[in-house]
Amino acid sequence: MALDEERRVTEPAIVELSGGLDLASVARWEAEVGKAGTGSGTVVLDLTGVDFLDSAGVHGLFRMLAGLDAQGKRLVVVAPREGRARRLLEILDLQRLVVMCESREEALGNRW
Amino acid sequence: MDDTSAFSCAIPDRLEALPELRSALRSWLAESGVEPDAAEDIVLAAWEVCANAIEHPVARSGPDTTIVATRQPLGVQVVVEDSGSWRHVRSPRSDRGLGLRLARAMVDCMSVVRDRPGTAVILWRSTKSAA
Repeated sequence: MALDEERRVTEPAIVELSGGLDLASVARWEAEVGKAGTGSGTVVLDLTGVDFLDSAGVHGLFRMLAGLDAQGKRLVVVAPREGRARRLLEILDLQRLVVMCESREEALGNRW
Repeated sequence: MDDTSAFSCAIPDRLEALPELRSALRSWLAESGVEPDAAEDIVLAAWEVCANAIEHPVARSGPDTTIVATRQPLGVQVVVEDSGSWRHVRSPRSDRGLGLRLARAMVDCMSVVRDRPGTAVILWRSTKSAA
């Protein structure tokens, strides 16, 4: 029961992005993730609907990661293999720095 | 020259206006028969170079910064030209290093030409579909 209590407390918060994660929108998404992180130990950031990711978006992603990490929290990214987000993170060789899942189900199915 | 053979416009001086330029370039690439994957790579490379041109704080000595994209037999060429020099520029943020790395990774060839007043960045990306 103690474990159940613990898990309920840290139930992941989901933030679903769509459109661009770029210099025009990154501040808004960072605020969303910051908000989501206040009530949860894990934030699942679903990038499935992201059709444009630029370098400002990549920097934002790592600020989100660092911000949550500093509070002892985790960021799990959903980025399907055929999507733009995964491709760009792989090209930049940054994919190992983030926990990346193929689907939201996979992200929620794992115990982080 | 038909309407789809070249895309040309002035680059805005504000980052907030870049998404509009992205839409216009995307439309032109689609009309020019460039397949979606290559088109998105070209759009991202051009976006990063334009963002760099807007962000670097150099007093411009000439006219507007421009972007010209041309459909070529085996690919697309994009030229971004401005009248500033990048040589001694340090961006207030360190983000641009990643941006130019990303731009370079998106295209087959990227060169920066600085042998005159101003800077030109030339991008070339092959396409599967011929012009």
